[in-house]
Amino acid sequence: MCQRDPIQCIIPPYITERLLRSDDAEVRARAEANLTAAANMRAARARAQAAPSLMAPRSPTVGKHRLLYDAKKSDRLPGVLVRSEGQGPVADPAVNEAFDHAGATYDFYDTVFKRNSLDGDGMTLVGTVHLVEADGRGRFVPLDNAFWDGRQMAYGDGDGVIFRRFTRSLDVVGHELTHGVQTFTSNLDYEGQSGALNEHFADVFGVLVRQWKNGERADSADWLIGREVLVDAPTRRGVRDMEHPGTAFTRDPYLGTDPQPAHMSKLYEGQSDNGGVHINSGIPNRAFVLAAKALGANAWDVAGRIWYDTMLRLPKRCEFHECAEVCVQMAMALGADAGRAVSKAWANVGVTAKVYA
Amino acid sequence: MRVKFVQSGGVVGAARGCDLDSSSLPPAEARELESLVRSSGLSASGEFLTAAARDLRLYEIHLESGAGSVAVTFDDHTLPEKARPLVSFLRRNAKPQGRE
Repeated sequence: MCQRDPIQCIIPPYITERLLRSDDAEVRARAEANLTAAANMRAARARAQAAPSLMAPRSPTVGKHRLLYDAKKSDRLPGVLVRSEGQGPVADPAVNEAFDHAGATYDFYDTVFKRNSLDGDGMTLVGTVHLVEADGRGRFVPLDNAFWDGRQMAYGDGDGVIFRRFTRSLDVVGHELTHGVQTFTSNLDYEGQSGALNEHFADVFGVLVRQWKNGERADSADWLIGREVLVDAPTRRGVRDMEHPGTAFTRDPYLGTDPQPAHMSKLYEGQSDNGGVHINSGIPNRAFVLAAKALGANAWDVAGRIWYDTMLRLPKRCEFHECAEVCVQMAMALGADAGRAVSKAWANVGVTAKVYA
Repeated sequence: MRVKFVQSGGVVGAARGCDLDSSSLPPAEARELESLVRSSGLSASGEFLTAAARDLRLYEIHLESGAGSVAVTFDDHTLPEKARPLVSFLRRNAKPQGRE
């Protein structure tokens, strides 16, 4: 039986199911007890996720407020405070990148959607750079990742061979901060299709922050995520290609070949990656790009508005077709042509959405 | 002893893994693997995930030995200190994984 934090510990259902069919009465009884415990754990986790605002640091001005920390090559968060709102650039490019990109993301949500920070109520944006990890041999090495820990962003410097500083990419910073926005909105469950939608919305608003900042129009925009975090090589262009999922990297010695599907017929149904949250996001990602190109102009103006309104309305557990239906409803509110364009975009990736007249 | 390992997730989302059988490894590596498994403390199956975090890397480890089998999944924040040397060894032996 698991001895760790009960919020974080659940015996996989396939194991419990197998134990419930055991010929041994004692094993069956333990499995039944585990089912009850698991239900209690899920309830505790739901309570923790339902109250994220209790953990949100508040901006003293109820406006844009950033705090940047340096982990000083440790694996502890948040680290040492190195730049606060109102302070100018420092000598460390990672600090300035994380600070500036968090600011651009705040400005994007504020300007385009009238959203005041991640929680809509002036939450301070906290980030940490130069995070490292133990290599198992008593040494620390730069982290090859960036993540949202539920309260703040954290960025590694990359190994310098495959990955570069994760702060280099505005769309990666926008991606991580959008996980924060979702914590306070749909809070989509991070597994299966709900989790893939969570990743999808993080990619959508990550790329839109960059397009908005750079003035890229939908018809000529770049739909790559994370181009700047990869060391240049002919086998890789980015970590994901939203327009052409499955093509961001090919036969790369470290990354392999991009596993993202572009259509429901290729849906990943394995258990890795929380049921493919970073894999199956390719399907809705492509639907978004098709819709954005059909709707034209700037992707953040119309397609972005539709997707933002959709993100606010989804339940925690949500399949692609349910997301598509809400999406089409939001588009129909802007007109029949928009509704048809969005419905067609989803249909082109194999997701059928009813069109509400 | 057989150890199957998959690393997935992270903001990049690329999967890497390995499937090691100590009987077919060079003797020194086989001894190291068996020693790391013994000292990892992994003895019961389960998933240990950080509910609120996003884009952490996930580590699936499946151990098979004469004593039975254990299947565990951890993320960067829940990976036990004692299991980190084993995961480090497995990561060094991992290669890109295609879709299952």
